[in-house]
Parts: sequence; structure tokens; C-alpha cells
Amino acid sequence: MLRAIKERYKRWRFRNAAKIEEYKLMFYAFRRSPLSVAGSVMVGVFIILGVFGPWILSGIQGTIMFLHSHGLVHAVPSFNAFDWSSEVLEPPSWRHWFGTDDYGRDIFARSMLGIQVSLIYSLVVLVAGIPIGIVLGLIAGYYGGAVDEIISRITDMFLAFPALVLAMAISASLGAGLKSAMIALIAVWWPGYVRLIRGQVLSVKENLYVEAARAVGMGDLSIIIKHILPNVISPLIIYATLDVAGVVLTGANLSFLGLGAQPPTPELGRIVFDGLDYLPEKWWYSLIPGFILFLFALGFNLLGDGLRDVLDPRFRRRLEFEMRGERGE
Amino acid sequence: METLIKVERLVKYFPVKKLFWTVGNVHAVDGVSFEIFKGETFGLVGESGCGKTTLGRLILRLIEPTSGSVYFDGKDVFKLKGKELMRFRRQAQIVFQDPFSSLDPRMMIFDIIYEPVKVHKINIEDPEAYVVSLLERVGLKREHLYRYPHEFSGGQRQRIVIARALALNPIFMVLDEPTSALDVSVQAQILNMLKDLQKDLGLTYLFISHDLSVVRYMSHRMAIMYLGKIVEIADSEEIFEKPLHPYTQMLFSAIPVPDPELAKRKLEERLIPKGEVPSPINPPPGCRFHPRCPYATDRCRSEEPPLAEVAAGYRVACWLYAKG
Amino acid sequence: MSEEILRIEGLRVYFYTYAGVVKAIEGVDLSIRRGECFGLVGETGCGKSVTMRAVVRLIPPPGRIVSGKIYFEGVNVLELPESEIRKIRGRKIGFIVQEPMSALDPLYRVGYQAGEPLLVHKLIRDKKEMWRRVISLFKTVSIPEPAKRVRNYPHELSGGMKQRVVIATALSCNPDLIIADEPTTNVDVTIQAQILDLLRDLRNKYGTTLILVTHNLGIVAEMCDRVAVMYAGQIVELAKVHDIFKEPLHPYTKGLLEAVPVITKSREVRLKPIPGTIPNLINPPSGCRFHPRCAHAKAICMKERPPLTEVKPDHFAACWLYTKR
Repeated sequence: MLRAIKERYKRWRFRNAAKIEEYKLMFYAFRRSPLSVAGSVMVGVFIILGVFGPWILSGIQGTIMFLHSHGLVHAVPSFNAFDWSSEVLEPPSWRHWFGTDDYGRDIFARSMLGIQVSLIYSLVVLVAGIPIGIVLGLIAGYYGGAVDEIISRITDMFLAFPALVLAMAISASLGAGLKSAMIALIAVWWPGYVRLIRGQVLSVKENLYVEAARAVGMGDLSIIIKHILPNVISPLIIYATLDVAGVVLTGANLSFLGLGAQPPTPELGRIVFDGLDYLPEKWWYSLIPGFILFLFALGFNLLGDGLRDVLDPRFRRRLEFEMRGERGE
Repeated sequence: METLIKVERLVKYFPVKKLFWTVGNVHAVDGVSFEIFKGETFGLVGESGCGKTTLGRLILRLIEPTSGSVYFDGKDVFKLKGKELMRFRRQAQIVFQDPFSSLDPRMMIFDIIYEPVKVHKINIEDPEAYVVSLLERVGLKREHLYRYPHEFSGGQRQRIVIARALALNPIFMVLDEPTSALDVSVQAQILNMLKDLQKDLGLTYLFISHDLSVVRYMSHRMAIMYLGKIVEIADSEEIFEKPLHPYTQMLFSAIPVPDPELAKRKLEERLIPKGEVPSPINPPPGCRFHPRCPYATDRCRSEEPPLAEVAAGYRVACWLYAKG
Repeated sequence: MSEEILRIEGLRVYFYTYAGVVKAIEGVDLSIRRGECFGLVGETGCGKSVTMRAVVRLIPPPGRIVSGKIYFEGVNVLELPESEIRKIRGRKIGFIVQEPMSALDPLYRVGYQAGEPLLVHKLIRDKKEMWRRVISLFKTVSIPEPAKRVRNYPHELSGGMKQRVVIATALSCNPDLIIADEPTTNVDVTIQAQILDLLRDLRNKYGTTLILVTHNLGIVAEMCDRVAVMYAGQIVELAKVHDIFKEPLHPYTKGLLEAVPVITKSREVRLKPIPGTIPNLINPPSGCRFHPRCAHAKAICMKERPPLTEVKPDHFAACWLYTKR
């Protein structure tokens, strides 16, 4: 019984040795750049905060209350994100780590929840926008001719507008709110992917393995999915990672202009907007959430840059020798 | 001998577009007719722009013709549909020139070779063993199964391409300059392997190349193409012994031979064609070779000579030989 | 016995890549006589192009000329400052590159590009004279309608024409030595014949020394007086053309001659491929670099590299079969 399992494991190892090598190489490439690692750490932190925000907040609160009850800590912070209180516009303190806003709400708690909103923003927009972009890009690139012309012209029309202007126009006409902001952002973001994918498809299409697949009898759809798509995907991953920052910032801009998230939804951009009236004395209101937004964008940018190198096969080939050298082969 | 492939008056024009209007046509293949017999290697020779690559792709129905037909085992290739078409695709395969872009860089060798089997939904008991047997047939080993293309040299990649072509047990293969990108010593290995495979598996080959020495080594019969037309077609030995068409003569006299004394003699007799190859968009009237031919007559300039039989199985398109 | 125009002694060129040190050229000695046509033959990666680029000191990094001497007309070019070398390049040594497609700048007219060496080396007074000279140059290289062609851009010309322009560029300053690096590789057979004819013509007219780098043995037989065969960065055989083809000594040369399909041989004679593959030059085989593929390899072949010795009059081979230890 045990031997059978060992056999299967050995066969699995044999079959996937090359793949494992590639992944090891990718990790090695990634590890080399401290900025990429920093970026991935930041992104990791933000994702955890975004997904588990509320629980983390109550977890922190619970821990501190526990310590307080044992006299180790003198006061308990308050994480009231939505309840109005009388502690209006108080500077950062032990009780309110990021201070309070003009309704007495804790800015730290609101920022944590704001991260969640930002993540949802980017996820929804990219999950909806990218597939549209991929499908249209594949069709336009592979079939060419009239189909390509139509798709490309429509894409061009969308791209002719500056992203923010178009987003503003769409979300304003749909009525202010988070949902309309997301629809606006999806509409603004998919054309970029069509361009990207179409360009990649045009060059991949010329490779002889595509013609060989046709000679074997593969239909167009199979060729597109099995041969073209895997070979055009890597720039997409990098582009998407970098785009997260872009989406979030544009969404924040929309909120900033009053078109995105509406009160009382905590959205980092909205909070910055609300705090503008109180600058520069009550600086914590706008600047701290703004800084978090900055870190969010920075983290994804660094991660995207790091991925760009990692996913480039030529770069990996060069590293192959370095890695082997380090391992003493 | 049994005919496997019959090409009849095949024509392929590629439109030249300026914006949306077609301003002209590239006469890539301009009325070609010939036969390929079962079990032989048919060589197709010509310089760049003569249409040999297009012809190879037409025969395999990788592109649609402007007019004309190709009969494979009696059936019209361009009218095949559904199961019949899939059957044709199983029986006819192609090996391309460039070993570097012929393999999907994201797939492992096993998947590359096994893919045709999956596409045709053929049931194979032990896929891994089957692919290993194919690899061994082309001189590779089991340990190459789960590697990526970039780990292999040009010669090895070409072997993988051939292994893949054999996966469906074809009876016919188009070899489009299979060794042009390879070194001399590797080329010899691949050519010998192709010859052995032909003997062992009874394959029929269409061998396309611009390298006359290679074509002569490989083919039993051959055709010379110029500007989309066949100018001479016969048994390889006969053509090499005494080429009839002036273009063929010039082509042969231009090949440098690795023998200094022979080379000197050749130099004295060398006929170098005047000028450049004309554009296939506006081929010259009459015989297409007449602007460069030292024997051109008025008839050559106005009337196009038909590909006529001058001896058993020997056809030439030239007014010097056409009777009548 | 004509004088020597180029002598290479103990040339070593290494490429310092991320993968390791590629010992591309490992000890090459050559002597080229004035007025002859010298062939340098070998497969890809044997180092023939690198050797010639070392002569004009155009080895790109990460390559470096590690050691050796190259005497051109008596002067060691490896010790000259860059400014002096530039006076030689184009003026005294003309270089015909392999790819005419990429050798010509698409933005400039071909006449200008062919005449540029004249301007650079200040052999003419002004542009007007350059254009005049270029028209006569184009006539020399058999470009039809030269007055019109000089004003064309590269994309307006066919491959054969472009290669002629490249040849014209190399010829423009009437150099004493022309190095042609695979000048006909990507060209049709008939155009190749025309170009080789042209080169032969020019040699007859001007007596220029020509070094022809190629992998095509047929071209060598047709054009060259003497030939050197290179393998994995070393010269394995050097002789007069007649001797190399009729009495090849080195197993590699013999292998090459038997692996190439020849029109004059019967179809039934099977090609004899050379077993194995070209070695990795980061870890080249010890001793004689050809020994892993050689049918006659002996114990000493694996240990020591055989020197290039004169086995017969004017016929050199680097092989333990012929050299006594």
C-alpha cells in the first residue's frame, strides 16, 4: 500500500520535474529583488486586512480588553466606525489610533473597513473587465479583418476619453453610489485589455505551432484556448496587478468628487474628501487615510514590477545559471 | 505506380490591398498540375518567391485555393467535411522549417506529441508508452518526455516535430525545408532518419527545398518551380543528368560543388541568368522566364508554353522542346 | 611566395556570459598572403566569424580578446589605440556582413550608405564627389541603372541588390583586404552565383586579398586558394583547396565531406553524419575538442590538444594521428 503511494509520488515527480524547476526559478527570481518582496508583503497585509477586516478589529479589541482587565494596559481603544460620538475631531491617541472624524467616528476602524472596500472595488472591476477584454482581444487578434476593425474602433472610442472623465460621466449619469462607480470603472478598464491582448495575439499567431495545430485538425476555438491564450497571458498578470492600484486610485478619485461611495460607507477616498475641510489643523483626518491609499497603490505597483521580471522567460533563463551556481551544481 | 496525390490546375492568388481596394494579385501558384505516387519522395525545388511553400500548404489544405483541385487518395481535399476531413488530417502531416517556433513553448514535450491524438479522440491504452515509442523512433529518450522545448537544440526540436507528425500514423508528409535551419552534420542525421522512416513506415513525402543537393539526395521524382509554375518535372536522376529547361540548367550550373576541379569546369560553363527575379504580382507575359532566358524567341515572349511531355514521365514547359 | 598581409598568432577570445565563460576561440594561428582568396570553413559556433571580427576589433561585450597578436601589414592591431583602428576599418580592411537586410540603415539612401566610408575617411572633398564615386562603384558591382539606384532606400531593393550595396560599401575605399562573412547565406542560388562571380571579378581586377567565411564547402571549392577548417574555436586543418578536398587529413574534415549531399555523388551513397553534437564551449572537451565525436580517438586525444603541424608540404593538421608525441 505504502509502496503504491511512493510509486505514484515518484511518477508525479518525474512528470512534473520541469514544471517544479520553473516554479523554483520564479521564486528565486522574485526573492532577488527586495522591492518585489516588500511589495508582496504589503499586498499580503492589505489582502488579509481587507478580507478579515472586521474580525481583526474585534480581535485586536478583544486582546487589548483582555490585557486591560489584567491591568497591563491603562485604556482601551474604541473602534466605532459608524456610531456618532461626542469625541469629535480628536487627534490620534491611544483611544483612537488615527484620531476621529467630524462625527466622532474612529478613523482607524474606518480606514480598515475602507481597505476592504478598496479591495472589493478592484476585484469586481478586474474580474468583470478583464474577461471582456480577453475575449474581445482574442477574437480581434485571431480573426482580423472586419471583426478586428469593429472591435478595435469601439475600443479606440472608449480609450479616447481620459479614464477619470469617462468614469465621472458614467457614474454621474447612473447616479452617485458605489455600484454605479464600479460599473463606470469596468467600462473604463476593459478597453486597455483588449489592446494588450490583441497585440500579443497578433505576434503569437505567427508562430508555426499555431499552423501546426491547424494541420493536425484543431478547430479555431481549441487553438485559441490551448495555444494562444496561455502564451498571451503573462503580460496580462503584470498589467492586472499594476491596474489594481489604478482602479483603487480612480475609485478613490470618484469618491473624492462625491460620485463614488456614499456616506456612511467608509471608503478611503471618501474619507480624504471629507477631511479636506479640516486641513491643516485636523491633519489626521485626510492625511492618514490618504497615506494608506498610497501604501496600497505602492504595494501593488512593486508587486507588479517584480512579477514583470519573474514572468519573462528570458530573464528566467539567465537566472537558471545563477541559481544552479548558488546551489553548487 | 499508384497515385496518392493528384494536383489539377491549382491556382492561388493573394490580393494586394491598398486600404480597402485590391490593386493587384500575387500569383503565388498559377496553374500547377502533377501527381505524387505512393511511397515516393517528390521533390519541389525553386528559389524564393516561386510558390513552393504555398503549394505545400495548399495540398494540406492549410489555405484555400483560388481555383483548382487536389485529390488525396481519390477524394477532393477541398470538398472534405467533418469526419472525412479529420481522416485526411490524420493521414497527411507537415513538418515546418523553423524548429524554434514550431513548438509551443508553454507545453511539455509529452503534451506536444500527444496532442494530435487527443484532438482526434483516439483511444490509446498507455499514452506515456506510446509517446516514448515515438521519441525513440526519432532518436530521443524517455527522459526528454517532461521537458520544455527551450531545453533542446535545433536538431532535437526538429526530431520532436517529426515525432509529433508521426503520432497519428500518417501516410503522407509535407516536409517544408526541414533541415534548412540546421547545421550540416545535424542535417545529415535528420535526412537519414527521414529516409529510414520512409522505408519502415511506407511514407510518401513531398520534400520542399531550395537546396538542390539535398533534394537530389532525398527525392525520386522532382519538379522545378518558377514564379508559380512548374517548368520541369521528371525523375530526379534524369533531371540532374541532363536538365532541359533553361532555368533548370541555370539553377544547376549555379550550385557550387565541393570539388575544386569540377568547380573549375563548372565555372567555365556557367550560365548566369541576367537580372533579377521579376515580381510575382506582374508576371511577364508568355513564358515567365523569357526576360532572363538566353534562348528566348518571339514566341516565348507572347505565348506561354504548356507543361508538355517530351519523354515517358518527363515534362517540360519550354518552346525549345514542345512539339508543334 | 607573396608577402603576408595578415597574421594571427595565438588568438584567444572568451565571452564572459551569465552562464559561464565561453571559450569561443582557443589558440588560433593563421597567415594570409597578399592577393589570395582564403576560406575559413566551419559549422555554426566554430568561431569563424568571431576570429574575423577580432581582426577588426569588433568583438561585442561580453566578449574579450584575452590574448594573442594580430599583425595587419606588419602592425599589431591589438595594441593600437581605438583612433588608429578606426583608420583601418573600412579604409584598409573592408567587411562584408552576413545579413544585408539588417546591415543597411532603412532611413538612409543606399548611395549615401555606400559612400559614407569615403566621407568618414576623408578620401573625397565633398558630397558631390561622393555621389559620383558611388555611381561608379555601383557600376563595378553590376547594379543596373546605377544613377537611379543610388537614390533608392534599402526597402526598395531586392535581397541580391542589397548584398551588392553592402559589397560596394566594403569596396568604397579600395581596401587591401576584404573580409566576407557568409556573404551569400540568405540569398538564392542564382543570385549567389552572381555575387561570387562579382567577387572573383573584383579580385582579378584589383588583386584584393579576400577572406571568405562560410559553412558551404561548395563555395570554398569554387572560390578559394587556401582553406582553414575550424571546429569549436580551433583550426583543425589548413591546406590548399585541392588538398583539402582530395586528401583530407583531419577526421572532422573527412566527416564534413561525407555528411554533405553532393550532386555529383550517386543518390544511393548514404550521407554519413558525424555522431554527437557541437560541444558546449563553457566546458569544452579536454585535449582535442573533437575527440568525443571522433572514431579514431586515442587516449592521448583526451589528454592533450594536438598542435597544428605541417603533415605534408603546405598541408597542416591538428591531430594525433599525424603528429608524433
